[in-house]
Amino acid sequence: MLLSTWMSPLRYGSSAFVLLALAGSALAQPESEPGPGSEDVPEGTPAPAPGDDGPDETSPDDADASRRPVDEVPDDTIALPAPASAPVDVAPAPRPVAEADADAPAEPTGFAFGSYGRVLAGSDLRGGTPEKIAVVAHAPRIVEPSYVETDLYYRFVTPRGVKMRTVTTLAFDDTLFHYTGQFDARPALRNLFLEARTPQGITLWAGSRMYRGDDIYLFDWWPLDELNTVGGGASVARGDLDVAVQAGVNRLLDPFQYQTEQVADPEFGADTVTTLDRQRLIASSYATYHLGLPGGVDGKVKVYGELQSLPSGDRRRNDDTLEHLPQDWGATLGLQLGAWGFGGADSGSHANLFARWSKGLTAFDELAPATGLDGSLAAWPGASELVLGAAGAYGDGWGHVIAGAYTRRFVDADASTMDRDDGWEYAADIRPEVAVAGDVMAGVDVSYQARFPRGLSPTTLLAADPAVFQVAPMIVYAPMGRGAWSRPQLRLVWRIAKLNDAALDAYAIDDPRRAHSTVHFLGVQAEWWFNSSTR
Amino acid sequence: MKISKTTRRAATTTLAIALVAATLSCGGAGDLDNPLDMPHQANADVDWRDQVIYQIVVDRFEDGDPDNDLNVEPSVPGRYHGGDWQGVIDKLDYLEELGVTALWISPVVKNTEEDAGFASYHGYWTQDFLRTNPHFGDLYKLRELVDAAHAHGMLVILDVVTNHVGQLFFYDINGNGRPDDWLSGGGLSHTCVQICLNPERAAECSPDEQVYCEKGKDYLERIIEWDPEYDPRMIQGWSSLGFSGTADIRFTNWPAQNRVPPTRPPAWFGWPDDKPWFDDPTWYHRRGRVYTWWHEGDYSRDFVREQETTGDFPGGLKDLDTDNADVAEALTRSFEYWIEAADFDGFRIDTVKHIDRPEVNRNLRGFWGKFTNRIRAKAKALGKQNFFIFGEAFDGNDALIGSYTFGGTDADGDFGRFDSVFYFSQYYRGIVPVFKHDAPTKNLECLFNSRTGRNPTDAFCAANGYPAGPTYQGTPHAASADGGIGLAPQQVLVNFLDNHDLPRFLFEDASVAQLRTALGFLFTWDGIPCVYYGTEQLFDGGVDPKNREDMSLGNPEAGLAPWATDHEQFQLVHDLIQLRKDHDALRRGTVEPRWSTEVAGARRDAGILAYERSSADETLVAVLNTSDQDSETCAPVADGGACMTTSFPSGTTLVDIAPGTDGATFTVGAGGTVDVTVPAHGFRILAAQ
Repeated sequence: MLLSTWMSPLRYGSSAFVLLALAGSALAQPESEPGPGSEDVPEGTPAPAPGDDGPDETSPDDADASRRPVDEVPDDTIALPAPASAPVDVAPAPRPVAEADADAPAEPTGFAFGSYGRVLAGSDLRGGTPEKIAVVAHAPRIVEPSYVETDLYYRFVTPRGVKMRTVTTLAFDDTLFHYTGQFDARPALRNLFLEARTPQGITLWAGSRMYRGDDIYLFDWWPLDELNTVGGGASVARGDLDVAVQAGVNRLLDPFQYQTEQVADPEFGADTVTTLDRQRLIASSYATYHLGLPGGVDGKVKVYGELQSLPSGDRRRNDDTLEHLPQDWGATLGLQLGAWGFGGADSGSHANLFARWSKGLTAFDELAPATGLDGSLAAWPGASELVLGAAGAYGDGWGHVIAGAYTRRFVDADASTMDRDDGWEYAADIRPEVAVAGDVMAGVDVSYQARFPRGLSPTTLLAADPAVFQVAPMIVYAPMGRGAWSRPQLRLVWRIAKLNDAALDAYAIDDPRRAHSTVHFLGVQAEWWFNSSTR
Repeated sequence: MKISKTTRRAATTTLAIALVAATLSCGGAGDLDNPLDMPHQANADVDWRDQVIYQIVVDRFEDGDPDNDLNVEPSVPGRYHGGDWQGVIDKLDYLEELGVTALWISPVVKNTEEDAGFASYHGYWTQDFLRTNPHFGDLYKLRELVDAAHAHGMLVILDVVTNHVGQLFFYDINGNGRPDDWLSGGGLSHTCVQICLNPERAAECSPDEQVYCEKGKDYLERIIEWDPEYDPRMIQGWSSLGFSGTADIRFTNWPAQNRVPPTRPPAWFGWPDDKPWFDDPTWYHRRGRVYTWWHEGDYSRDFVREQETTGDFPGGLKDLDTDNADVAEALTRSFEYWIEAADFDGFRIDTVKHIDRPEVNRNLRGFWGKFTNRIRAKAKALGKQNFFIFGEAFDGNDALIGSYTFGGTDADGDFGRFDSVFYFSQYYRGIVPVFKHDAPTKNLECLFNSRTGRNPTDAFCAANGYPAGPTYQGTPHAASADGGIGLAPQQVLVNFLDNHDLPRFLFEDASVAQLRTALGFLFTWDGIPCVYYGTEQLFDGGVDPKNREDMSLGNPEAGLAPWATDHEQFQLVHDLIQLRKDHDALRRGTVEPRWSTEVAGARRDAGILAYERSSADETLVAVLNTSDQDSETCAPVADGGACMTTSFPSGTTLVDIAPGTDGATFTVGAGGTVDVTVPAHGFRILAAQ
């Protein structure tokens, strides 16, 4: 079924074609298509609904916007050459469960529980563990490790009508006792914040928070705005305009941000003191303007900006010498165009286009130290990233189709203009699912990803472009309905991945996976979200 | 809000165009040239006599890319300090200002990371012959360096190691599968214990082996499975019950230290799948560590040379069996690759005296005869002319190192060897004794005599052990167009004052004034001057690794800021290089010794060495004074008082054109004689006014 040309990564025209098609689909919906307004979006509304944009827009039931576990990419995935997000496994965007409704009953109070989760079980048909295949920074998620978040809320309304909530989210990676036999787990405390929403529509929050906008579901990635910090923020909604600001910090356990040393105690023994303490300040702001499009379609234009700074410091090397780390900066500008409210009822139809340009620190994931620094050990101004992305879904009574595509150019700050860290990449993924009987759908996920590094393969010593084609037929059982974002889902999936030679060469020379240009996954997947703090 | 259909279409079109344009602007690997397909600099006009080589230990030069600063510990002499190829690129302007014309960079291949706490910052511990050392950059960066150097008018010489690899395996002497650092039972080998010291079998031993074993009882003290001492019959397994045959060797699999079996080449390299690639025990001699250096006088020359050519290099660097045809082919193809991929202009080859014995039979082609011929052919095939191959034979034996410059003839025809060697015999017999310890300057003349075969009956030279010569080949190995340099080894020996394996000239027993005199010699003597980095900054470190200072730190003890050029020493080197460039006679001219001393000590001509360099256009006279007194080019009155004779006609006025000259002039007398006075540790370069 593979085209003979796939082995040579499809270049300019193909990615542009995908993006072009999605752009067209986003802006050329039939005018007659009816759709509900954002204020009364029913359960199952897709990610780009207004409530997706930020915590200020969400109800206490489903508020909050981001999730991202801090676990590393599993060792058995292909090492990503681009540093922007390699160390972080991005969790998917749970679909909205319910939006605030003007006619909704009184604000719920007290304790509540929510969760996002996914579990995968199956085989690579060679007797081994299934693996995600990735040669780009944000690869299709058709096979990805298990992950769960458990959310605990406490909500109440003050006598003056301020809606308060605390959100605590505990996340776990795929260390499953029943798989490893080790009675152990790797938890991470992600959300831990308090939020207050005044009757005047002003929202204030502080704490540790996943903070993000709309995603490309099929890549499990938020291309415009996704931040994980400890800080605070505020937002306000006035008419069609929402504005939010946020500022937070992190101090990664990385020798470029944090070091401790033992020093002699004045009396006896040793004290441990922090000698390098560089907090990375991450601030962002966005403004979203909602507009009505012809045919009852809702739209929005979102402008995003982000600034980061990292103070200077002195890092102690293994030989006890100090290395000066200068102050560093980053800045991002982004734009999103979104539309929804077309397609069938509860179909989750929507379209989003993203553009993001970053320079300096913001070209890297905020949970990963910048790499490829310039001679002064700074990412600013040398590093840059340009991302163009598109995501969408369309559905009706027959079922639905979800699609996503992006292209990304990344250049680090080091002196090399031709090295493997630099280059561009793209991925495109489409997943149609057609109703078969009742809540059962038949679908297929088809994706292609390719990377064009500006450097030589360290194994072949040649310039080569890794690429992966994947096709994954599946049977989906969605007891809550056929909508694109209806969850939970149980899936039976057979994924066939085809890697070209360059993709195989991305593995270490002694990695047995180099021998397999075709990689299977046959197994089951479960995915759910309810009362998830992501919303 | 209403949006018209026209507006929507316009927006759609604009977005689509923007996306396509943005995507097209992002270049990728498909835009990159395969290094093997990149063009090569022809070097048709290069004459290696015109070059001034500048030796760089890359790790110690400049850190241009902190991204590759892995395991960097800049305060520890034996660890990586962060220098890289980008750093060299960044300092090409400095080097151009200095005036050097060729860069010799330390080895580029991937190394074992460390051993016994020392790191492979120097590059001589090969683990992979085809891939670059990631501490320094990747192949594109290396190529960028070579191209940038070419753009600055500099050639680039690659440092090549073919004799051995890094510490990739150990001898499992006791069969426990683990690399023991110490085995009880002393260091005596199987050969000694079982044969030579066994009265019933002692007759099987050669006299040298008997000496080795008898004396070894005193100085062979240990067995380390990484680096056991030499056994002529190969390292043998051993336990408390006795010897158990040839010891197995075990390659380590320690990826964190990159001590893993050598990585096989990529498929396009075409190495047969059924052949080993430096991971076969039979590719190595497996005789253990050369030990005779510390007791050379105890043995016959043959025994010493046998150890040198088959023993492991100290430090557990495993000796390759270059007589094995597969080994020779693998090495040859590997270094052909580096010319093709990186466009190098020459090779400096490490430890050449540890391969082949041309001093015994020049007509035995051996590894070097094959290797050098193949490399020249490869250069020719790539369109490169004047590819320069010089070897390092770390030995003061002039005849021995010279033997590696002689070609030969066998049943397959004529073959060549090295275009040149690093002139160690001059270092040991001339540079150190003459310029640092006031030895008679005649030693340098004797070396010249030996090299060329000139004046074979000179009594002083004969009495002091200088061969009659010629000790170096007097004809080119190949024409320029055939990948050779078109010059005879005698003409292009690489002269140096110090290098990365020797203490700096200024280390102990030497003054800046003495260095100045030596530099005067280096840049006016025939051959190719080679400057060890930092000489122009008065570096004065001792033996390895203290002689590998960080260039980027400058020389604070001497008050010199990093990369400072506004000081006397930098200007001296610069001016001498410029003088050499300005005068064809100093680069390519003939040499005619005019004055040297056969005795040391205070006298009228103490420390004087004088020689004429003549080209078709001019003749210059270099007059050096290595002593700490003002001296003249005349004999003491008690010895007749005769002065130096030159080729200049009577009445010619000679003017000093040396850097920093006082402008002194000297008039040639009858018969071309001239009395030139030279200040202590000074030199004059005289030209006809």
